[in-house]
Amino acid sequence: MLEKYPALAAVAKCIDDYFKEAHPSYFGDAPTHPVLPLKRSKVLHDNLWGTNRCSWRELALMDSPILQRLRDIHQVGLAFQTYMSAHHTRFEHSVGVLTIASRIFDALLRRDRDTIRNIATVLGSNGGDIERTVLRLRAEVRLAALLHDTGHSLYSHASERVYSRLPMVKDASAELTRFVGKEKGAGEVLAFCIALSTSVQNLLDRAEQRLIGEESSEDYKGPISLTNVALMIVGRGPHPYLQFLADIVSSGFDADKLDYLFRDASGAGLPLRYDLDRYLYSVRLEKNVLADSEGELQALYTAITASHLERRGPVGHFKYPHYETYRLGLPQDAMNTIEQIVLCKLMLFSYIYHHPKVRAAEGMLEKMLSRAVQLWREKGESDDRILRHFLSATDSSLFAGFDGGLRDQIIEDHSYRIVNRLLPREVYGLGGADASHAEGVLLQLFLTDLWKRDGRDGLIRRLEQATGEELKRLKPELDGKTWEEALLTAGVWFDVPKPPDFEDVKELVIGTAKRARAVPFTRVFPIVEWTEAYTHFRYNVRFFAFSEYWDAAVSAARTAMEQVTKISGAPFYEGIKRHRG
Amino acid sequence: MFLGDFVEQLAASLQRGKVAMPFENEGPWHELFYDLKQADWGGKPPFLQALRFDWDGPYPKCRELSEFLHALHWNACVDARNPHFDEITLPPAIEEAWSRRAEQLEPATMGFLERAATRARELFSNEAQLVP
Repeated sequence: MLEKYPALAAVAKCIDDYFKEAHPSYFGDAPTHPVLPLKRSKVLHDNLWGTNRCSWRELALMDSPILQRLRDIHQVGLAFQTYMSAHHTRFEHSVGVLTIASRIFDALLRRDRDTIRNIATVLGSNGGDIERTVLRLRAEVRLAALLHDTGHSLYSHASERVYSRLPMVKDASAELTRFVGKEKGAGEVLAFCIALSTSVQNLLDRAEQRLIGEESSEDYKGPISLTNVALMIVGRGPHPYLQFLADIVSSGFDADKLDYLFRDASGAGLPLRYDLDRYLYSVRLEKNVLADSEGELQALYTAITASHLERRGPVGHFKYPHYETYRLGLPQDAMNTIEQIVLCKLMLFSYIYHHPKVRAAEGMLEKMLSRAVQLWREKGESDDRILRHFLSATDSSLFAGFDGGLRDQIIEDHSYRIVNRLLPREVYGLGGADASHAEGVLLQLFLTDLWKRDGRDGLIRRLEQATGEELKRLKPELDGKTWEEALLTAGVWFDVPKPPDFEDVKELVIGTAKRARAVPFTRVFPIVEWTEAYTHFRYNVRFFAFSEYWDAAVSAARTAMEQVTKISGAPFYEGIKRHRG
Repeated sequence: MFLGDFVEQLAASLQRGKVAMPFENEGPWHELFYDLKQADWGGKPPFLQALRFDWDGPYPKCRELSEFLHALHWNACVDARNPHFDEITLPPAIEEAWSRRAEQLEPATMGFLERAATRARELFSNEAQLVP
């Protein structure tokens, strides 16, 4: 299936080679696991969602290094250095997503049973056994939910931002994007390739041979498609009619979001909740279309040999070739739940994800890992080898004194500082709302230029280079270092976090508001206004610096900003400077 | 010239031509840029050919474009209080700043931009019919 996608195939091979080498007893040439016979199911207890009955496939994966490594990866990275109880892991989250995904599927089956049975009838390849097909789809959604985060490395998104810059991974992301017809990131590339790996397939095949106990009528008895599972992980149904299954795993109101909103809030001790029961009561299927003018979906469905496809030409409102599809949707009467979910997400950005100290810790880790990648590369290591470092690293790698075999002073210093919470301090913080001074237009142009994808990295580099050169001038002990080394030594960087994105949420709301017929839902609950206001007033880009270099960084960053933005007024810099106390 | 630069110049041109530019309903923007990607007019900036669209709904959607339109708003380069975020307008100082940047454009690119503005005028005036 990946013959036309060499970079994706290379990542998949890298993953298989890594698992084989690192865990020969599971994935090697003579594997011994699972050692003991396996029960067909077990009951797990989740601290948030309670009881869930897991199948042997799910258990076999959970009990393997593929999922076990997630026990040592914090769900919210280094946020525990700010919210001391936020120690929940990607493992708990993955099992939680499995539970929620399953409940969404069951809720859809209750509400839209006939539609789902009709789809199963059309697509069923099991001799017309509709119930069996429905059970298979359920099993595949659950597996996709369980495996969706297996691509994470140490401290989740901080490391993802680093390995996503490896050319091998960048190429694979571009290929996956083209393959499934929508933009996909590095973490999704790895999770997709893991689900498709021979390591997973062989493990499940062996586990099936070791089953004991009576079969239950609840269990699905038959083969599953790991291709379907992999596609659902990246938000693409294996058939247009099955797009709603992928929406359960990856969309604006997906099981992933429903779990992490509550889990992150609970883990951090924040009183944020939403009404899951009402969500499950309201969620339904919506008939819609998937436009496909460039033929990417057609190529995908052909590659996976999907049957019963009908690609229609432009007709009426639909001006592009398209497929009819079923999507996950929430109707108008779920408005309160939608409000709660949107507000929860906004609050979590404000409380946790964009908290200056969380950004400081994660930024420092990102700089440290970027330095490691640079040094591994200088030692002649290939992308393949470097990616393996990330596959093997978990959070403990840092607390065990991460050095990546490099013996580099800067890495050791960063590692020590993170472990001992010697975090950088904010120097300047600025956002759209700071543009009201006399030189406001210059600031508006600069902040907007940061969102031009083609120019952003260059702009940040120019700003950081100017800061580094000025720091060297101001601090004699930095003389002789490159500007990059000067910045690393002083813990100085310019941080541009990702703002919250609610586009998918808007698109999954069905219909108009109840009490104001024909008024779009988004007018009654103005998602766009709210989120734009958040980003305008509360989203900041920032300069950070180690405390020892804070005073010098105030001066150096200002000089750099003056050079790059042409903003020179002292009141502006005084206004955006972060004063202590 | 890249996507953001092109959007700025197009918005300045549309504002001068008093064309209402949609905001909350981004559909027409995406359709416009998909049309521009397909166009074979002279002076076409190379970035358009590489512009990436997602196929996950009734019309093609360019995330990069969506991201940039929102960045324009949250950084106050455009104003959208009218009263339901229906349309965007440019503050005079921004329009002037972007117009100054236009002085560096090649005549061929300017020609393409004019044709793009004409296409935008057609699409944006039929906004209600575009997105099912």
